[in-house]
This record gives sequence, C-alpha cells and structure tokens, in this order.
Amino acid sequence: MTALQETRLQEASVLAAGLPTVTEAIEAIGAGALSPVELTEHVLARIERLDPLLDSYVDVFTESALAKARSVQDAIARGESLGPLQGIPVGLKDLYDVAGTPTLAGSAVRAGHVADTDSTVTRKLRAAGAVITGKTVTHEFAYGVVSAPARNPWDRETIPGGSSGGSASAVAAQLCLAAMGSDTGGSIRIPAGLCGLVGLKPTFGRVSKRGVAELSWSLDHAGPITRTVADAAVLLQAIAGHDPGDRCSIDEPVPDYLTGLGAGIEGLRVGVPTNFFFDAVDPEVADAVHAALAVLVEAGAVLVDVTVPHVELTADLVSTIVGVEAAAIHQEHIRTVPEAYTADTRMRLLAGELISGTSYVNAQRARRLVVDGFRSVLSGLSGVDVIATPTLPVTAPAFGAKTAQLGGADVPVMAALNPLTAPANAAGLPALAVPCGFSAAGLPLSLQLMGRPFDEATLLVAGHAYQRRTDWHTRRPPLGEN
Amino acid sequence: MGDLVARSFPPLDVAALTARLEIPEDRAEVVLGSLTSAYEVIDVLDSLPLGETPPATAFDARWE
Amino acid sequence: MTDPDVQQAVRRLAAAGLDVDEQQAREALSVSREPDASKLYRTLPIDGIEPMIAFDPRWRA
Repeated sequence: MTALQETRLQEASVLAAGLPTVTEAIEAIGAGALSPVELTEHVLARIERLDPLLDSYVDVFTESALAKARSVQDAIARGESLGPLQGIPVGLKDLYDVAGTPTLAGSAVRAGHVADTDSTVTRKLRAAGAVITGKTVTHEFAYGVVSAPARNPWDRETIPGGSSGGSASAVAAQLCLAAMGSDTGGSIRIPAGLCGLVGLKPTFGRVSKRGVAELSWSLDHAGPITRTVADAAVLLQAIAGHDPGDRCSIDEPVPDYLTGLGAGIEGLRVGVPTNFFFDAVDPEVADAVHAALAVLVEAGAVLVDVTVPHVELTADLVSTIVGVEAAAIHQEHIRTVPEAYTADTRMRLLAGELISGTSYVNAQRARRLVVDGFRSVLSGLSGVDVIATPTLPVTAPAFGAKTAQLGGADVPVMAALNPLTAPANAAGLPALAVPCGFSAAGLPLSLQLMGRPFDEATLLVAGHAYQRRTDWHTRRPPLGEN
Repeated sequence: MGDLVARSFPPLDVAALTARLEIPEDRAEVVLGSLTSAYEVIDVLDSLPLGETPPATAFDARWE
Repeated sequence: MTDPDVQQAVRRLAAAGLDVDEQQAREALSVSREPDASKLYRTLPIDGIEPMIAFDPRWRA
C-alpha cells in the first residue's frame, strides 16, 4: 500500500464515524491521518446534501475554502504549520465581515453591502489556519431568537433558536466543525441549547467585535458555538485578546485555556440559585439540570444554594438598553427605508424610539444592581466559583410559532427563550451552555454555567469535566444519514 | 410607514408626553422656548454622519 | 393598551420624525416595556449609582 493509499484509508476511518470534533480534527491533521482538503471537501459535500433541509447557510465559500485547505495541506507537506486551527472548517454568522463579501445581517436593509476588510475575529481565525466555510443565517440584525428560515436538525419542525440559529444548525448537522455567533441577550447560548451544542459567551470585552454588525454596543458579545467544551476552549484561545480597534475590548491578559482544561473540579463551589432561575422552568428541563448537578458532584464539586439579588430586573433593563441602542444604530434606515425591515424588527425599533433618555440612563444604573448582585455571590470568602442554571426554560418551540408554553401560560417566543441567558449579558459575565440531556420528544436540554469576569477558564474546566462523564454531546441529530 | 417627513404635532404636547410631565399653562411659553432650542440641537446631532461610530462610553464588566 | 396610548405613541414617533399609523404604533407598544420599566426604575435603590457606562478619555488606535 502506498503512503497516499494509507492516508486515504485513515481519512475514511476518521470521517466514517461522522465529522470529527475540532479537537479530534486538529489531532488527526497533525498526525497526518486526515488531510485538510479531504476534510473540507467532506464538509462542503455535506452542506450541499443537507443544507437544503436546514437553511443554515446564506453563503457558502466553496472556492476560497478549498483554496485555503490546499494551502494548509501544502504547508503541512513542507513541514510547516499554519496555526492551531489549521484546516479546521469554521462557519461565521452573517454579522461578521469577510473582506470582499457581503455582510447582510439577515436584512434587506444591507442589500448591496460588501465588506472591505475582515472582522478581527475573521482575521484571527484565518491567521490560526481556519478554513472559513461560509456565512450562516442570523435573525435580522440579531434582533430576535427565531433565525428563520433556519431549522433545528433535531426536529426540523422546530426552530434552532437565535439569533445565531444558522451557526447552531450548521454545527449540529456537522456542516462545519465550529461556528461563530453573537450574543446580546443569549443569542449564542439559546441556539446552542436548543441544538444540543456548547455555546460560549465570553466576558464583555474578551473577544473583539470589530467588524461584527452591531445590535447593542453595551450588551453585544462575540463567541463560538461548538460540539464540545474542549472545542470552545480551542476557539476562544484563537480569538480572545485586546483589540484597540474595538472600544469595548479590554486589555486583560489571555490565559492558556488548554493546558489546564482537564484539571478536574475537585472542591469547585457551584452556586445553585434559589431565586429566579428555576422559578418558571419546564419540569423536564429542571430534572435534567439537577441530574447534571449530580454529575458535577460526582466529579468533586460542592453545591451551594445562592440567591442572586436583583436578577429579576434583567428583562426590563436589557429591553430598555437594547431598544435604545438598536434604535440609535438604525436611526437613519428606519426613517429612509422602513419597508426594508421585517415587520418584527421594525416594531422593535419603533418601540426603542419610544424609550426616554432617562429610562436608558436608569437602566444602565439598574444594571449596576445586577452586576453587584452577581458579585455578591461570586466573590468573597463564601463566594462560589460558578453559578449553574438551566440555559433555557423550555425546549425548541415549533417553527413559525409566535408563542411558547412556559409555566402553563403562552408567552411570546422571545420571552420564553431568553430570561435565563440575559442576566449574564447585563452583568457582562462569561457564560457557557452545555448539553445535558434530551426531552421525551427528543429535543436537547442545556445546562448554563456563569463565572467571574474574565474567568472563562473555570467555566471551561467545569464544562469539560461534565462532558468527560456524559455522552450527550456525542449524539447526532436524525438527518436520515446512517 | 410613509416617507421621510412625519406629520407634525404641537412640540410641547409631544415633549410633555415623552417626558411624562405635566406642563402648567403659565410655564408653557418659557418651556416652549427651551424646547425649541433643544430640538435645534437634536437636529444638528441627527444630521451628523456618524455611520457605525459607537458611543464614547463603554461598559466594563470588571469589578475593580 | 388604550386608544389614547396608541395615539400618544403616534404623536411621539411623529415628533421623532417617524410617520406611523395607529396599527404600527399599536404593534410597537405591544413589545414595549417602557411604560412599566420607566416607573420601575424610579422605585429602585439607585441613588448615587452612576450608569454602567463610563467615558474613557484615553486615545486608542
């Protein structure tokens, strides 16, 4: 057998079990058992075959992806490395600028837009050797949690959530190995949770938002959606860091997220809120989260009941802040091309125009109460290391539904999906969604871990420890493949 | 939604509604003068080509 | 939401340069938390608390 034949055989075996995770692919590529070109071709073929069922991509970069994969392969053949993500296919939510291509942000308002430079995250991913597969569907300007027309691979009659719904749908269906999302009130963690994935909203200022279409300057975050916590750590390592070109970026040192990832959680203090976070949650969700907490205890964690003061203010203050900041961002276009917006976004922007300046400032003051509330739980001698909650109170709502059942009542889909994720946006804290089971209907359930500012490392260690003891993340959605 | 120019309503009434304030009749003339000045300032600000410029303020999640 | 609420919203949006009909104003009000939120903020213990946004005079690239 020739060396080439041997490689092909190894590749067939790597890809036969489904697409590898980022971590597995890095290892296989590094060991010469998987060629970046083969991997990219495989991903592109899956997109061609499966995306018509899911509508997760708005644009697929077939040629540039293959060209990048070839350049990685050539570099490897020369004994060089193009970076820690060399040859890894990554999708970008269609808010991230890629030079020479449109960033439509899910809106007709952006028709004709072409980015002249890469977003900072795009540039960092490319510099790390990643293969950009294309742009994924977003809810219009990320102002919502539905992300039509994208579908949830676990049940195509349900939504993938949003606003990073295309990214989550694509990662769950293995139409890329990882994807970037953005999160203003939960838009990374909500779709990650509904699609059985890991979603990481880093601390505000940890990852640059330069070149990412904005919704709310003081609440937007950029972060990855992956299948495993280890993959999220790899992505975060590549994209974290100070960017002077982003006013919100903060100059804090970036630790090594990978070396200590398997350190374990012996003695980790996990705060379990007795207020708010479990008040209106489906019993299936609550049961799965409590079972996940038991797994953390088996791994050495200590559970501590906590009360998070003022967290119930979140919905009001986030609504006020996003409303005003989004209205300011869209001030011109809502007047000049109002018909170009979908009715849903237009009414939200009009609602933002009705908010007074004093309300906005008071919301930013009330935000201090929420920040201090979390601080009181996560700091000091009696403080916990992380807070564990459900990511979502419900499973994926039906496609096209305007409302979802929550606590026996019909509530708007937005209100059903974001109440438990938005507090980490208000406080700017890092938060991680980790799959923790399935409902009786076969829909994913999710655990959320929140931590101290710039302490993503502890969340990743805890999430990784959980995934080492569970196999939820290894299950694949029913797409008629087998 | 129509074209660029919105219908006009008495600015003092609208301002009072927006601020949720009641303005006594004997104060109306003085307030209207101030309000007109304020609207002129807002018109100037609205005419600036700010594009995607973020505010000169930024949230900082750190505790210290 | 009452008819006067809707008419007020039409007028306030008009003052901001947005010409909307009553149906559009009604939809905007249906997602607005402003009436309740603005009252709530006045009940909170936020005396002496500065907004969670701060101006930074340093120059950046």
